[in-house]
Amino acid sequence: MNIQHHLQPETVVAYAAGTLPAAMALVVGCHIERCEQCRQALRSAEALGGHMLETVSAKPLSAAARDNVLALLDSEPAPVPTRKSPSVKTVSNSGPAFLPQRLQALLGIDSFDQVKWRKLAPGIQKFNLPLKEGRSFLLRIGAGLAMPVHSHKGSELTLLLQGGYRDELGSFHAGDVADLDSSVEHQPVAFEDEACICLAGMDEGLRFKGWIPTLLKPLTGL
Amino acid sequence: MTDSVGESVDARHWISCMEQVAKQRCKQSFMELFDYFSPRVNAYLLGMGADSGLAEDLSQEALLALWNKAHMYQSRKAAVSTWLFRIARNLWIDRLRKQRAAIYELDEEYLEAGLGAQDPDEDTGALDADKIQQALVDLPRNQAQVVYKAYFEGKSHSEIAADTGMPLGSVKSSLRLALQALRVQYGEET
Repeated sequence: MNIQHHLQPETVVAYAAGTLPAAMALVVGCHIERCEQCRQALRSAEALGGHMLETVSAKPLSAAARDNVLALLDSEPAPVPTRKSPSVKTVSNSGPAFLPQRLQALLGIDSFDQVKWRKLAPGIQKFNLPLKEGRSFLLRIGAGLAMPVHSHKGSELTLLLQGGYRDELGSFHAGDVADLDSSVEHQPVAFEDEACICLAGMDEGLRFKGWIPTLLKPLTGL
Repeated sequence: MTDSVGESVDARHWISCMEQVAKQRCKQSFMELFDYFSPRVNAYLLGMGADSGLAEDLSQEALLALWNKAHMYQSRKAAVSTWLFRIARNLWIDRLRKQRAAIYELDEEYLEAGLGAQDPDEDTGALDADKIQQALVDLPRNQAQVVYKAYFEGKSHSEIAADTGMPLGSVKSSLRLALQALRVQYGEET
């Protein structure tokens, strides 16, 4: 897959530092499953973290902690609590749609048909993800349909999973990510040939412009 | 990029300690790693808001992971400090930012299962600690401060802006430049 739209470097840094709210970290994690360029950027950002670890001023542990660790070396490693291994199927994501492993694991689905979509507006469906930090949802936009013009109060990450859309910033296909801040106002229009599914994660809400949103907002809770 | 001339002696030393631990179960090498890294992991966790008891617990856990998972360490992919940073960060997330845990857990599984091996040339961890050092020394002071706050105080971009009085855009570009400087040093500028 030829990915055209990538994460901003500062977003990769925040993911490496562990400071992105879950809703946004999920989108980053899903994108790097597919994107080698961003995965490499992440490894660099983690190397930066490693370097910081070497330069920070040290705060020694107690002598007791040292003894404790030394004593534990001879014991069998405590059985690692085997987490329920996410029921990730090794679906080859080679088709045009891209269902990231993290989404499969989080939602327990292996197809977008299994998502419990809620109707948002004619031709537009939404599913809120069960993450409490920030807001995150899947959006399904019917072929050829336009989203209302909107900007964002905070930052927004949108990962294309199926089909694609066009907006002021260009064309986005499955695997591409739109990494936007509040200065961007855009109106995505889904491609004509297929419904567009995307995963969005944001730290705060959307800000709509004009009358359509005023209509949509109470309806949708977007 | 695999030219080892610029490699830091320290970085190589820690790698050989890891090899001793992995192959010989050498306690002396491990305690050397412990004495050097545990106070740093502790400082990191305290900076990220763990109280002193929790920071001490998690530091021990992180270093024990180094002992127990030494066989999984691949020096080709990451410096020891990078590997440990990742372990400590994931422990912090696991304990204090539960919501994010599942996302990073899978990242870990990818690495451990070698699924990331679809990147044969993934040598970004190529251990040029000296070069990283140089790239960061060259950063203007305010940029370095932003990097520190991002990694070691767990601050979001807007929190850093509020802390430092810098505009949000400058905070972001500082992080971008720091990462870019690092990558130029790695010779992998894209």
